Amino acid sequence: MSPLSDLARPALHAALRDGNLCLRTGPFALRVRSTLPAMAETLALLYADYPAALDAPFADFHIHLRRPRGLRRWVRPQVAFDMDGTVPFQPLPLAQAFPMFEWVCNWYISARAHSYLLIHAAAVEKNGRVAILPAPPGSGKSTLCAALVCAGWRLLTDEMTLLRLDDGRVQPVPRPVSLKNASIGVIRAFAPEAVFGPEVADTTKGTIAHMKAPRDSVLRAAEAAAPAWIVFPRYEANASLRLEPIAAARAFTRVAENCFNYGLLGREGFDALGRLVDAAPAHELHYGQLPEALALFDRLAATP
Amino acid sequence: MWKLLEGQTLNCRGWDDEFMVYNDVSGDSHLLGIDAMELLRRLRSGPASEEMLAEALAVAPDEREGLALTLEQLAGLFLIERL
Repeated sequence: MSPLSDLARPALHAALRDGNLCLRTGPFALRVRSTLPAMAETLALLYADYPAALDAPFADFHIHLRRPRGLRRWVRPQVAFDMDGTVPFQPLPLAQAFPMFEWVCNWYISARAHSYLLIHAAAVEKNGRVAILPAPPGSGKSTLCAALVCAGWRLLTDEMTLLRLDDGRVQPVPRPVSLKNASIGVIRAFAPEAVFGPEVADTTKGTIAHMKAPRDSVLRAAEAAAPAWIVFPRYEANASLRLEPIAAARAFTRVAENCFNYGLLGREGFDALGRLVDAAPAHELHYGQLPEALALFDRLAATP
Repeated sequence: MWKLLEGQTLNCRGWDDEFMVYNDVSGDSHLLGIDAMELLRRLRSGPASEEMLAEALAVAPDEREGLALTLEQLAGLFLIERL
């Protein structure tokens, strides 16, 4: 498959219009359909390096974003996710088309990818070892993940860690990093070279912008890696850096609380999580300054 | 008399003095301390009365109330049941 950037813009628009565009991210093939011009432009920017094909025979997920018919076409236009003729989610303002695309991707993965233990966590890799960062919204997870990626760590995911059930390795599914509100400015200042999609205001999460995943992370999306650390980040303004160990059994329960399908997997999930906790010591990280946190991660990566 | 609930295999993982146990009946996972885990292990070898368990685990007389409470809690989790 060639990268999406090889596709000329008219061909991209036509493929999106006709529902022929298939993008690959990690183990998943996404078929995308939309006539929204902004979708084409943002995909071309943020998914330029992803393998793309036209008329692929199979796709895991089908994402059709369209404008609802009727009055909404003219007054406060919206975007809706169409799944085989049904609309499972409330339509959103048209400007939120790309965030909706990303949310629908997350929804598909969390609802369907049960050959993995799905952890609500970012994951980054260096020297063949993965740091898993589970955390609820507001903990600074995505900000820290974006900064680590801009500082040379490989992006495996910023949102949903896929732990393989057969060998316990982390399956990459690198996608644009979703940043919210003040985090957008923080990362723009930290990494001026980072590429961002448009800022979208007034979403349910505030203002959102997506940072393009590094090309190297996208090209290495088939390379799974072994988990080495579980780090629960907690951003606190002006806090001094603290890395506190978490007892393994407590880490088990905290990671389980952050899983999408732990209960569904039953004993397989229990065994997978047990292996993870055995392999990756867990810590809680309190940080107030990104550079301090990054230096700590680099020290972790340098340990034998 | 107490016994393990039918179907429980006590699939567990332990770290230091804490254990995670997978409940084959409910599909839940439980965080247990070492004493509760020892009770389950003893019951895996066969049904036992509270007195037998107290003796096997060297439970002092003033700790018997705690033993009874723990057994009731394990029953509440569908790990064990009265025979």
